[in-house]
Amino acid sequence: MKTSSSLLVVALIGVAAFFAGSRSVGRGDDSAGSQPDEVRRAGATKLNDRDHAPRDLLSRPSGNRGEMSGMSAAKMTPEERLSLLNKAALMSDPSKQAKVLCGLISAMTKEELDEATGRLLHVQSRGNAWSQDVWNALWTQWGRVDPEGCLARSAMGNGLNTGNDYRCMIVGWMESDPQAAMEWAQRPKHGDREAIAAAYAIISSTDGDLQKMEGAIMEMAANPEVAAQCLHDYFDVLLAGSSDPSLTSVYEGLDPTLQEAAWPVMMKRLTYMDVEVAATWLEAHASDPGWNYEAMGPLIRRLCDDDLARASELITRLPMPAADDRDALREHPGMYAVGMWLGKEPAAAKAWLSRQPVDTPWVRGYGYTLRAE
Amino acid sequence: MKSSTTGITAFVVAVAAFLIGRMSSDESSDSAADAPQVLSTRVRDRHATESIGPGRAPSDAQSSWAVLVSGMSEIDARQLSSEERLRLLKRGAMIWNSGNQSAALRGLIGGLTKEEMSEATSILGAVQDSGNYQAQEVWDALWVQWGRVNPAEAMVFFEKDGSGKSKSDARNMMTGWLETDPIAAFAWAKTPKSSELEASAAALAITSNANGDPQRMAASILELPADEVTRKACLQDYFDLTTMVGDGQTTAETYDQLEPALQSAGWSVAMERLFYEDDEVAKNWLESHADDAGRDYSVASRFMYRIAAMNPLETVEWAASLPGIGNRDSGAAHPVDMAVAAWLQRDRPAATKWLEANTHLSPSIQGFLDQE
Repeated sequence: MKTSSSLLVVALIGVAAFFAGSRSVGRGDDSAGSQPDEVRRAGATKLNDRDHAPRDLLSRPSGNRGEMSGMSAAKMTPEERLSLLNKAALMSDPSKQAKVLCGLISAMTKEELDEATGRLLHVQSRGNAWSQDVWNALWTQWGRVDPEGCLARSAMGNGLNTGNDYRCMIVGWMESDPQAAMEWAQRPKHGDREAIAAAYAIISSTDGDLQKMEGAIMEMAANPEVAAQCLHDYFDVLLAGSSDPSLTSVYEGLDPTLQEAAWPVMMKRLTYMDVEVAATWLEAHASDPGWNYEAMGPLIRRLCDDDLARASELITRLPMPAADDRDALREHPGMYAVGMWLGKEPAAAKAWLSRQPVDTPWVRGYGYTLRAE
Repeated sequence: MKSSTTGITAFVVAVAAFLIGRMSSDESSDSAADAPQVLSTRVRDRHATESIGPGRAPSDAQSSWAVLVSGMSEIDARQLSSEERLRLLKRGAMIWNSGNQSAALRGLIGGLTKEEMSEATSILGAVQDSGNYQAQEVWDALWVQWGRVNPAEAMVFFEKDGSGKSKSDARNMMTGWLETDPIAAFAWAKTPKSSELEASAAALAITSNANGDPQRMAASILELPADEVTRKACLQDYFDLTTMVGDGQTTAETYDQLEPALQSAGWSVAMERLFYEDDEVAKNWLESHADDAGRDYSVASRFMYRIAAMNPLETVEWAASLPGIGNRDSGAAHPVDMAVAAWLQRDRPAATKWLEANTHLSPSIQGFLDQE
């Protein structure tokens, strides 16, 4: 045999052997069913990969390992997806259920989502609990394929519920049409939940640059609900960093316009971070622009758990409402503190109340307890 | 080239090419199967190199943003010191937005050691008690990690105080245990259980070995020691499987095809699932299986309350026709009780009139009137 012919033969044999080798791996996978379970478990990733499985197997995820990838779901018809969703909606194990539903949902069209959402809400109302992952996947997909429809549905009470739901929706919207999502984010919002979504869009556009964040939040100053939620994200970024940020120092360094939006954010966050720091900060900043009674409420309730007398002293140093402000009787956090004190230690509370100016909300609200003596 | 030389060369080349082909296919099939995970791992690795790195915490706003966007990998978390992990956990628990919090903490929790679990749980619980709720994904990750690193203590933790913990929490713990020591997990699962939380965790282990085969799963359940609570929990998984495998069975079909020894435990499982589906189907099934050995009317209470609120007279009269209404020696609930309660709340005069005319049906009917 000539050398050139020999080399050609060797090359052909090599190529054939290469393909034989690569195909032998696939056969090994097919025979996995005869392996002990532990061995199969170690190779579970490969076994779960049904993206390349024959079509008739796609609608039949194995119950135990059943996972549905978005690619597998995309190869199904809308009827197949909805049929499988209806079955999976009945599953009792939230984790296994999520593995099927999240993949299915990620391939659903606008029309399917409408039906799927109705079905999921129906089954949940009957008592079957879902993994949060399923809801996250659902609202994210709504955001990808029909965010405006999702918002309209939610306005009628059939859709987004929590702030996190809204955030998931805008995550999907930012994927499919970031420009429209940003335009929506910059329009005035109704309530905290929409503001959370808007904040996500605005903060995401800054790529983690704190200065850009501050600039973006400044631009939202006319929309304090959105600005406040942006500031929550801003503080979250600081917390996820390496240095231990002092939120009180961060507040001092903020532009005065941002400080106003930051006031309730600071109050709420300091309350769950450190009650003592929160109480001290409140005393020092009780009358700063942006203060509000609603944000003070959690701190006053926490203080009441520990020391009612101290809580009642603190409330006297809070800004007082106008004498004719009837809302203050309902909203002023001092009303809670005095009410609790009167219930638990009536003698001490009444003695304290009798020394209070008559135009305070608590005398106007609880003065009758003194007159009843 | 001689023929013999050509033959030997061809053989060597063929073997080498075969092996290379096999290895390259192995790699490509791995990467195909893992495509999304590999992508996200790369993203995390990039952040790790740029910011977190071994033994270092994120160092600037961009890297902390990266933690919120992509999360910290478990590998990165393991390279931190114990103090750093717990410090970052405490700060992460303070994150307000649940999406940010989940991203920041899931990987970090995956790096916690056996010794850190108890303190980590206390940290998350304390911040939650102070008013900042931890995302469900954070708790899920915590229970999985408990199961991975210290399942024995995790089980004690669940046994000691089940309040605020769900079956799903217990199963997450078992998921972690099955990852690290499936033999021990399975041995534990086979011992009798006393609480639904434990039973639910045990069921995950027992049924996970069926590899998607309903017959195999049923056989595993039958092999269990006589432990009704675990058997019921396993049957939840069994019904899940038969619903999803192949063309999917209906709940009623699965119940009818259960081994006789499992049907008793399967009654309440089937009934509960039917309530999720369709009122009429559920009512028909309840009516036709009300004399079965496993009948447990207590699972029907919420369903009865709901349908009675919509259509009280019809529901009460239907419920009163179900067997067992007059035989209440054990104090067991009957569907008519909840239906009447719903009616009384909605239309007291009409419900009272019906009760007065039907005191002969059951002592519980008179009981309602006595409370008036």
